[in-house]
Amino acid sequence: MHSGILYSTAQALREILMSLVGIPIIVDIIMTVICATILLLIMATSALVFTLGERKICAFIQVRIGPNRVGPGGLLQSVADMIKLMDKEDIVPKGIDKWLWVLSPILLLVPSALIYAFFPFDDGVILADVNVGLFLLIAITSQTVLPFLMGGYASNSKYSMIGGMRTVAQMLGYEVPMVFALMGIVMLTGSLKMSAIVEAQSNVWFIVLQPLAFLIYIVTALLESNRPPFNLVEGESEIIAGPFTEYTGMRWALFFLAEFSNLMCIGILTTTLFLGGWHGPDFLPGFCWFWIKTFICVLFYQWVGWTFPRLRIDTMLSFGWKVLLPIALINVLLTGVGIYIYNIM
Amino acid sequence: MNELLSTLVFYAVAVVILATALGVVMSKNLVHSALLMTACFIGVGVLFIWLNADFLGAMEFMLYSGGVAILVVMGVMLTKREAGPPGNPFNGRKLTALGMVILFMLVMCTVVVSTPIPTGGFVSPDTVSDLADMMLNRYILPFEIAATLLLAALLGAIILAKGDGEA
Repeated sequence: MHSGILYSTAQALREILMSLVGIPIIVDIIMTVICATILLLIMATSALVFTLGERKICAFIQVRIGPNRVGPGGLLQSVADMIKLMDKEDIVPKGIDKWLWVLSPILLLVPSALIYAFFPFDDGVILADVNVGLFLLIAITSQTVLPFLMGGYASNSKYSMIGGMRTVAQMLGYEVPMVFALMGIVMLTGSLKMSAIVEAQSNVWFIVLQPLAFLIYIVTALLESNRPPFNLVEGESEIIAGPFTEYTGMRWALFFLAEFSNLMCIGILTTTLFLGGWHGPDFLPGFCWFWIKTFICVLFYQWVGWTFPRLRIDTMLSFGWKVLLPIALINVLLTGVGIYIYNIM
Repeated sequence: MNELLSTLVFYAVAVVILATALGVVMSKNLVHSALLMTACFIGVGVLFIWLNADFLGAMEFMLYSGGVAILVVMGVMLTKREAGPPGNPFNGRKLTALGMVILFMLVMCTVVVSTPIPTGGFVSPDTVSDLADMMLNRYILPFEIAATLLLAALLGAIILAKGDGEA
């Protein structure tokens, strides 16, 4: 049976609802709606927190102060930014493909929000613990490519189009090494279930058993979420802002909401797949460990982003296909040999 | 209650699939057609998941709406002519099309009706492991032959893309 504060809270809430409503299926629906709302709130808040965090960390690394006027120590800066973005004029350029242009930022958010259903936040706290969890998660993440291309095409501008093309090239190119790197984990666990992957790390974290896969995952994850130093899709010095060149105000903000949500997703995934998920010493509950690890990962990704210069698109693509992919394949081979030797001994 | 909900979900997904499939054919804009086809793929994937075939659903997302659709959309966008109205090629051969559709429907209906559909049997909840067992034990030879074929296609694509001088 599951233990942990979150799980028992949910159980208690379910019992209260059960005594109030009485019909199991309606209670199930209400519980799912509550879970989904909480997850969406977490996603929206993460954008608020991470924009401020990003600017403060960037400032710290570049020996500046960063936002410091709005609120104590600049804490309310992202709230002010949000009000500004909502207040901005909504410019709709001429000559665009209106429907695709409007839909692109909205559709981009859908896969980013969907994959939160597959994250195990604590013991037994996972919205959809399906058999093929990790595979379904990767499949849903791969849906983010098309909205970028759609936005780039619909804007009817050459910079947007180049940005859209770059998205396709780099995301498809780096998805292959990422999947092969994660294959090592699946081989060790013997299951694609997210809860089983966390369960398998109760003694040893996979970062110890799969260091090569961890390194490959860091690079590909930064790239899949368009974080610097791999944000070639929106390289300001080359193509203005890529697919979101022609967007303003809230439409533009939606792209960034998706980006920061993806940043948190890769933090959560790194935690879940390599750092033992919610496992940790007993003096803190599981979900606390989960969020502590996630925030350390996000901090690390931001640190990397502000430290390394941006790569050139062709060098980066050939790096993915010619270096990362062979290393990932070798990692799969080594893992297989390792499992074989372990089973013999 | 549970069954009612399940039926509702099915009809919602079915409407989406049929509407997007119709849109692919009826749309005047070729890019819109390609994108609607992606939506149709996603609908089919959702239908698989509704049928508890999670693995097939994920495959549909990954290969069709994640891979095939992007290739098609890119191809359409890149080959679009600069001048003139962008559009699907339409012509007046409606009667021929109707005949073909009726013929196709007849063949499909015959196949569906004549295929014995197993009902009631035990279905393992862990279809992924069963699939893996099938592919890597019993059907290992076809699996490897398919892999070799794909490798040849990959090498061919590289040689074609590189052109005469470099290859």
